[in-house]
Amino acid sequence: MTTDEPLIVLLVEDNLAHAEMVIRNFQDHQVPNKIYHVLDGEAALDFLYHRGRFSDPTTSPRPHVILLDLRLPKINGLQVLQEIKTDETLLSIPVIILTTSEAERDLTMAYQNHTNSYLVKPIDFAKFTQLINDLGLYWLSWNRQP
Amino acid sequence: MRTQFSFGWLYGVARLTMSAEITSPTNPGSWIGTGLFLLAAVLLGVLAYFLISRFINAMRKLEANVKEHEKLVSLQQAVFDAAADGILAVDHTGKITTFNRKFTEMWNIPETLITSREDAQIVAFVLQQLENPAEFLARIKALYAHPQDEGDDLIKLKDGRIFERYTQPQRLGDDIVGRVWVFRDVTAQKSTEEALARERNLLRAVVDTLPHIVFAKDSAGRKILANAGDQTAMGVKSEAEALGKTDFEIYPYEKAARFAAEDRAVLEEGVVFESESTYVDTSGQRHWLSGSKRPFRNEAGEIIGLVGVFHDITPLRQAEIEREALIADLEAKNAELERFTYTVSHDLKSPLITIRGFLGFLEQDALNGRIDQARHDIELISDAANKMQQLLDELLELSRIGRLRNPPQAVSLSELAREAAELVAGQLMARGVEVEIAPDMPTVVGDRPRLREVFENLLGNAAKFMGTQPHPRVEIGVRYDKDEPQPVIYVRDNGIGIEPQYHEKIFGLFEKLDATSEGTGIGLAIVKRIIEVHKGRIWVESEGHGRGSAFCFTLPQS
Repeated sequence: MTTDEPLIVLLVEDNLAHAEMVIRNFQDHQVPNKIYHVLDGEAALDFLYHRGRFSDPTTSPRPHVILLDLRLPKINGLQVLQEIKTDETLLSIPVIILTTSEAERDLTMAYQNHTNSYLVKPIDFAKFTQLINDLGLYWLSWNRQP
Repeated sequence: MRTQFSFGWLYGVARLTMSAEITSPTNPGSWIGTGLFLLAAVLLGVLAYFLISRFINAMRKLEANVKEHEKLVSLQQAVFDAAADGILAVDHTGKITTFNRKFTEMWNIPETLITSREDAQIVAFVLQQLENPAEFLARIKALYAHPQDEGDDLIKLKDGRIFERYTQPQRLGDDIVGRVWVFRDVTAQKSTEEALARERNLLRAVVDTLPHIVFAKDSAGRKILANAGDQTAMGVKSEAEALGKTDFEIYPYEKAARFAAEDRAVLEEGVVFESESTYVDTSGQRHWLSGSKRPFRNEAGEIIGLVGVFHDITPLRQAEIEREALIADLEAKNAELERFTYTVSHDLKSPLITIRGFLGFLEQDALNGRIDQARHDIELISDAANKMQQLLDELLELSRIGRLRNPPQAVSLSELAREAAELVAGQLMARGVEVEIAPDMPTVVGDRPRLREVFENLLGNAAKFMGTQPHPRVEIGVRYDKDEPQPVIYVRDNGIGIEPQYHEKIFGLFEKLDATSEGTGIGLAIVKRIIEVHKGRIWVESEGHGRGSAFCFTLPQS
């Protein structure tokens, strides 16, 4: 990976305000990146499999990282995760669960379905900003991918 | 002995006489005279000898006969005395002829009374021991009136003993010369019989009192016992109606054949058959039975029949079914509550994150002097706060359903649907939706305002999800499905439809298929809750995207 080629993030988030918070925090980040935002699980899978309105791979590129909310319309986050992690072609993409849910069951289920990370959205704005910064730094700078 | 002695004496006299004749001195006289005398004497002697010897022979014979008779009499007396029964003989005048030792023992007649042979005293002694002397006397009287009668009966003594009395006339040729009474102490036998009868009655009472079905069959499968429970199960009015019959004469063939097969295993292999089964009685009520059949054997150990005991466990089973239903209901409620808590905590937290987040952005905007950005952020904060209030209101609303109820009343669904259509007329007109309501929908009993809410919600949803349909249309009506006992009410639209995989999910709390659509996603959760509170069922039928949807529900009519 080179620095002039932006890193691609797929953000799966049904809450538009939350999506904006993530995107705005990423924009301030020093690592060049491009965020693709979809609103539900079905759209996320369509994006990854280049189906329907995401059929063009140039406008729907393979992401380097997926930020996935759990509670989503249509197909929920856990199902999307399951789908990705059981697909040979997709399972190497790091999936980061970014959710409001602190439920034990969600955490367990996410790891059982091979999530790469599980993050709970902090209510405090400073912490939220910090989290997104650290996340970007770790997954987009430090972390190496094939 | 006396008799023998007297014959002996006679015999002795005869012998003496004879020897005197032979050895007597002769009278002196003429020789002729002497000769004649001698001749006469000889002749007389011969004659005498002849007669005497015949007499002696006869006497000897008689003596032998008498001895023989004596033997017989003594034997008879011995037998008479050794008899296990007390025997009394009376002559035709009622005077006691004889009795044996057993008789005196049985009646405790003292020696002095026996030797006195005072009939009246003996009778009086006997009578005083009886529980009912009058009856005894009457019986005797009756027998004297009919001397030829035989008879036996039981007499009770004051000391508790029971005698069996047998009597028959004593005959000499054709004449009745007296009467023989035979007494047998049957106290032990009677008490055994009574004890057995008592035990049998006790067992029978137990068998009849048991709240179970109890029966017994012989080796040919014929009923030999059927208690009250079994009589009910068979549908007969008395035990007698069933006794001696096989199951084939009592039950329908199929049932009888099943029972017979079970019986065969018990009767032929000696196994215990245990089962739990169910049947529907003549009044149509379902029963559950639990019990067993086991062989019973004679003293030689051979199986001679079977005994069955079955217990009606219907109340138990019904309680079990009820309990299972309650548990299932409770588990469902618990799961629902868990989902509810989860959803609520997630959905209420979301706007809070938004508010706090954009307050942060707002601060940055203020520092950087970005007024437009600030305006946008404030708008998002305001939206999130509104959303939060809406969520809280709706949650409160949802929790009220089933908790706060309006009094149930008869509701015409056609009328209610029309009312609802008027209430959401604004939304319907805005999208140009044409609504058709069938006039023949049933009348149900329920919470009228809540049921109207159902139609309002479904009509609102139909208008909201019409998509690009150029001729939006909603039909409300009733249909009668083959495998559904209740009439099915439907609200059918020609809007965007719902993919089959989301048919369940849409009824969940705060579930939305389209993140950008208006509302919180509580509408269908409320509708479902209202229908369920009315003990009905709701589901959606849609062949998928662009094919329209039909929301169907049932409401039990009462």
